[in-house]
Amino acid sequence: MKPVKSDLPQGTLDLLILRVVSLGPIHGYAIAQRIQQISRDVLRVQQGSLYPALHRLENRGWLAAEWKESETGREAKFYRATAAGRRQLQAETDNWARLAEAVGLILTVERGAL
Amino acid sequence: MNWWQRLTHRDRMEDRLSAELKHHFDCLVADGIRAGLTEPEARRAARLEFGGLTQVAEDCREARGTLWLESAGADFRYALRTLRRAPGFSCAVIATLALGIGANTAIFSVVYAVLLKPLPYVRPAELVAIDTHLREMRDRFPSLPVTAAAFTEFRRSSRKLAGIAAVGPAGFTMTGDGEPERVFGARVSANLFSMLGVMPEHGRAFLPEEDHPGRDHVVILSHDFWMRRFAGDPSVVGRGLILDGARYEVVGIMPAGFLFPTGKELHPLAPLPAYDDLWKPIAFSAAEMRGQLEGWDYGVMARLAPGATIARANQELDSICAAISKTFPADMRFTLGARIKPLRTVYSGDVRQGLVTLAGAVALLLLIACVNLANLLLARLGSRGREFATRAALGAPRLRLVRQLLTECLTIAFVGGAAGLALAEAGTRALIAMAPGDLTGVRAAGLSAPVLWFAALASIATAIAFGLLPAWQTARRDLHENLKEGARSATSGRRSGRMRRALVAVEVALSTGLLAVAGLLLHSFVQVMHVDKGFNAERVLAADLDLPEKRYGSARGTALFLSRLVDEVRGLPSVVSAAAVSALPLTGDYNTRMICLESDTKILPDRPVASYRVVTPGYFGTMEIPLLAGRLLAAEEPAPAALLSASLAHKLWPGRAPRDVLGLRVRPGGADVDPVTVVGIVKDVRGDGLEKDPLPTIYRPYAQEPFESMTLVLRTARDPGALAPAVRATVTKLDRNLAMPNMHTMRQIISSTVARRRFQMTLVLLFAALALVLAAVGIYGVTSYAVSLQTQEIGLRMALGAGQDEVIRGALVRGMRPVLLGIAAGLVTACTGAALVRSLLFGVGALDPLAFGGAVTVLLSVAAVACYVPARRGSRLDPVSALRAE
Repeated sequence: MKPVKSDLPQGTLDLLILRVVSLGPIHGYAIAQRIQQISRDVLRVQQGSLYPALHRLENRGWLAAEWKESETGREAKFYRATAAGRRQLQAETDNWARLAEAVGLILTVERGAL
Repeated sequence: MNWWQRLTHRDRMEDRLSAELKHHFDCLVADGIRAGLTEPEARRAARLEFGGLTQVAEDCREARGTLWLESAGADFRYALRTLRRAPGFSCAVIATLALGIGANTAIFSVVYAVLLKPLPYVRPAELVAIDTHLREMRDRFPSLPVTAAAFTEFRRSSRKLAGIAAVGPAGFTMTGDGEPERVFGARVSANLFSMLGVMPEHGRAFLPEEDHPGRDHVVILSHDFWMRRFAGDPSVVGRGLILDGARYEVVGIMPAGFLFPTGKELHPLAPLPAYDDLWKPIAFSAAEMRGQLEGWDYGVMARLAPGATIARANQELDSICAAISKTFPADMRFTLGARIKPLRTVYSGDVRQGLVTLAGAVALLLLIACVNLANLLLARLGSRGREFATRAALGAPRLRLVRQLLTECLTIAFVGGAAGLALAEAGTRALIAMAPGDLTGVRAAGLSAPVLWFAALASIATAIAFGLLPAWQTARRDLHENLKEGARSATSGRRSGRMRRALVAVEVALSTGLLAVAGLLLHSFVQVMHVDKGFNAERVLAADLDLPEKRYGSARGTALFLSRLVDEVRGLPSVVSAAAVSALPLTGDYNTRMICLESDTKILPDRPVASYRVVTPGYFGTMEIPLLAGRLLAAEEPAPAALLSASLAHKLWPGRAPRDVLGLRVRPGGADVDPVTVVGIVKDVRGDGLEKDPLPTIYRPYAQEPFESMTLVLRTARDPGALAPAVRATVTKLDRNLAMPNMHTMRQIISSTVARRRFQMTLVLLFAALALVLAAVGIYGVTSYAVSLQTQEIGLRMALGAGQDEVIRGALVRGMRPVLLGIAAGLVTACTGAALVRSLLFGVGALDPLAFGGAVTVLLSVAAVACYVPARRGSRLDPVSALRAE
């Protein structure tokens, strides 16, 4: 169970965040929790990477944010994906799938196949 | 929030950021407690996991993309705080910068007004001036004004010129209402105003038919004259003026600030009045039109046709000139030529070189100021080393520190530039006040938009120039070393010490160059002032008189009036002697004639050209011009007589002694002129300024050839200026209607002939002096810093028995080493500078030992003092406390 900071390829963290946020409005802490949970504790996102990434995505217009009461009754900043964010997610997901398939092909190639 | 809101609602945004991070932190704590930890344990765990909260916040800010702007604001505020905290340093830096920027901006405003600003005419780039020459006489007359005949032919035949206009001087005595007054102006071609594209503000311009004799009794007034004489009454248009006894109708009034050539601007041999009261149509007379090789009297302005270039127009004029030359009489086969130059050069004239020198000198001053500022900044960086080290240790990226430093420099530049502008405003006004009268255009100098741009750019360039070196050092230096104990005296201090010594050397080198150039100009000025004028200029008063023949009935009546006037003023108290002359020495002379020998039957191109002056008896005694041979002119000469100046006699009869030419006869003005007998030879006087060789001169008795405009000269026993009212009273007593004469002392005349040189020299000297002060400050700063670094060493050496002298010597040697290096390099700079100003020098070589030696001596002495003061302070240290110092 290694904490992930810069080990994720560039841009991957953005993809994960977009994916999680696209499921519905969610605040920063919950995003980290959700990623950890879904990845069965393999991926742990550090605050030091998470928040700059959130602010960057918000700055690019892929995420929108609003302040509202959280489940604990406190004000929290909830992020949601914008239309542009969803398009970006789609594009990134396709990209990732292609990349994963390609990497998979190379890794599974047998000796003498070429 | 968009980027704008983020910038403008910075506090709210910061609150939100910390609230967001706080929320995350609280969630972590809550989870810990849920997992069974106590609250303090949970907090501790959360803190551990979270890491540096400020670091995360900073990364978030950076992710927003507007960080650089926000931090620039913060840097700016911080820079202002830092500057406030060190008022001494700030004052020194801002004063240095204000000086540099202020002086540069002031000079630029003059350079802009004189050399760069578009002329106030329509499409000024198309406007040109035309002069002519005779190829055979180019050695004596490199450039001539244009004759009426040639001008008319140019106008008739040229296709490359869209318009062409001639200009000649005019002067009238205006009578009628009020006191009689001399009014000045110009005769101009009727199309001049429309060609320039400047029309009268009231009334109309001249009509084409008014350019013919008989229909030309119309005038256009200048705005200033209209305001002064008619109090700006527009109804003056249509009224009549009495000029030289004839009636002229006022048809228009030019707008204020209408630029018109004055003095020798348009052509040195066709001088125009220094100001214009009015203009009249040029209306060439039949006599003026007849002269083919005489009457070189008119300046010419023209506008190039659309698409025409100066080169093309020149080609065309050359062929027109060739055609004109064919019509010259067979015994005077001269070749006429013409040359076109941009009208701009008429107004900037020969001041370009001088102004460029000034601009160079003042730019050098700014460069020296930059070096000094870099030095000051480096010194300050030394004392701020720990601050930077601490900030680096707390996580500030190096680039961020460099940026912070550059922001500080820009802040300094901003404040210094603003102070400089205030200085420039005052400086420009001072420059206008002290500028020589013939530097037209200076009066229009001011802080216009281009000048403000210049100041802003200069400030920014300066900030980058002096900030780069310290910033680079910061980026390079191992900042952490500063945190270590005692690092101050160790490597970093030594390295920046080396840098600072190098800067001092550069500063000294630049100052040496500037001082040497200033020395050259100063020495030239002294040489000019000591030139042999050929007469005694002390205690001489001159009064310009205008004696129209009509007023006194005949030439004889005029001569009688003048001799009565001379006799009257001779009787005034404290007047030693008095006489009259047609043109004073040093005022420039345009009445020149070719002098032919008695035997000549036609004009020979190689005959000398001489200044032609008429004098009343006693002129040579009054001016103290020595007689070299023969006798002076008597009151009543039996036959046409003349005196020659020594150089004219030499040119006419090379190899003959002055004594041997007495009694010979010459024809002044042409082979068909009646001969005059040479009765004496007098010494040459400087005719056209102190810097030009004396003009060969021929003097004729006034009684034999009376001139309408004469100058009364008086030698006095006391201050000549004090005599002016008495002279005026005498003139009024003899003729109540004579216009009041202009009066000057000979010293004033000399002073105005060297005005431009003095202006230039004063400014360069001023800049050199400022450079010297800056260099002294730099040297002083470096030496005191070196001494303060060596406090312990000095203490140790003194404790071991070294005397004060030894300590002083050591510090002096170390301090003077970069100075000597700088002076050596500076001599090379000086040679370059001297080569650039060569054309401004007079009577001194470009490598004048006096100027160079002087510059080196001054710099060495100032540097020695600047080193000695801190060295001596170091030697006075108490060894025990010095040893204990940090």
